[in-house]
Amino acid sequence: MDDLVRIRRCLAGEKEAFEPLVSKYKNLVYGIALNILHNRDEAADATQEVFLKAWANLGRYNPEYSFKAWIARIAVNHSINVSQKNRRSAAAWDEDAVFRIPANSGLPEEELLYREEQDRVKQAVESLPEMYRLMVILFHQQSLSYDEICQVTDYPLSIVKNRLYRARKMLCERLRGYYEGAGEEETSWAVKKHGS
Amino acid sequence: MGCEKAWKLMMSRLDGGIGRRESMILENHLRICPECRRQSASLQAALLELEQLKPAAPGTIEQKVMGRIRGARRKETAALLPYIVLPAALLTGILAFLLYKFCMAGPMIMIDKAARALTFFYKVYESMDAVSSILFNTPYISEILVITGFALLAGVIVFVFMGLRKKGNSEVYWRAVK
Repeated sequence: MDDLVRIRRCLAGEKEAFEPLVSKYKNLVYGIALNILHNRDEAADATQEVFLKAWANLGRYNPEYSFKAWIARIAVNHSINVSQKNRRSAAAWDEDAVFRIPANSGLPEEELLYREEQDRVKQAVESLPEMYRLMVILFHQQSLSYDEICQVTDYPLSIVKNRLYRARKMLCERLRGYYEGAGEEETSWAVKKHGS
Repeated sequence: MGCEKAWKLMMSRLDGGIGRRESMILENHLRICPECRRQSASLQAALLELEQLKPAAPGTIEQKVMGRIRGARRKETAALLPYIVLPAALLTGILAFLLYKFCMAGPMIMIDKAARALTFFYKVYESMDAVSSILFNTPYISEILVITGFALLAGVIVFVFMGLRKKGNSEVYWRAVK
């Protein structure tokens, strides 16, 4: 069912129609919150607050724009507000214990290389300045279009394109040392692993 | 083609906006330039990795959010209290005053006053009936006016009720929570 139909049902007083919207966009909101707040519990709390804010302000939603962009915008603004209150600076994925594999974990070498590569990518993305990091996350991780990013950030298309261009360049430079050290063979392995 | 142009084509390819001819030009350049080939491969690998690292929200988010939204129903009722309490207090005051007058003046005076009020309303009705007979040459105009009046009153009540319900859906949440 279309998002707009669900929103109209919510506005007509049918609260249960909001649940599918939460299910559909929870990963998007959580992903944005985690990348700004760098803390899983805070990101989970922020996700709840974002959906409650969205529900409370559904009457203000303009159907001309995508709901995905609208909720992403609320998520970015809310997370920035919370972040400014908390002033945290720890790495976003550092708490993600799933990816922390000790050296003697007994995993096959290929798996260890894969985990190591993931850590490098995480570190490289984390090291980007916030506005560039947000562009990369919104475009490449959360699959928002240029138009949707413009709606989220309120920047014109030229600025969004420029920032994403620079962000990719920075990312490439930061990963350069690793891939140069690892050799061309390993890079092609990484690309093959993802089916590219 | 230089490396700078190749980089721009790489960016266009990541945006999904590259034609077949440009794609061939880029591939040819990547074949002969190891530096650009390395950059392209590392960037593609990193961005695909980033997509794989997309964090998943906790499974309890829906329950928690919907629980809080459903919980706001009770708060809506509380938010409607000012609309109920004020008229109820007014009505109680009027009834208390009438009871006081009834006790002080005795029942016969109150019955007499009620009868006089009813007579007054009946006279108004009769006057409207007479005026309508003269103006429109029909004795039913007053009934039509009374029915229209009731319909308008019902419309106003329904409008206010619907307005309050709609308000309860969004703004009441913030009024209740903050």
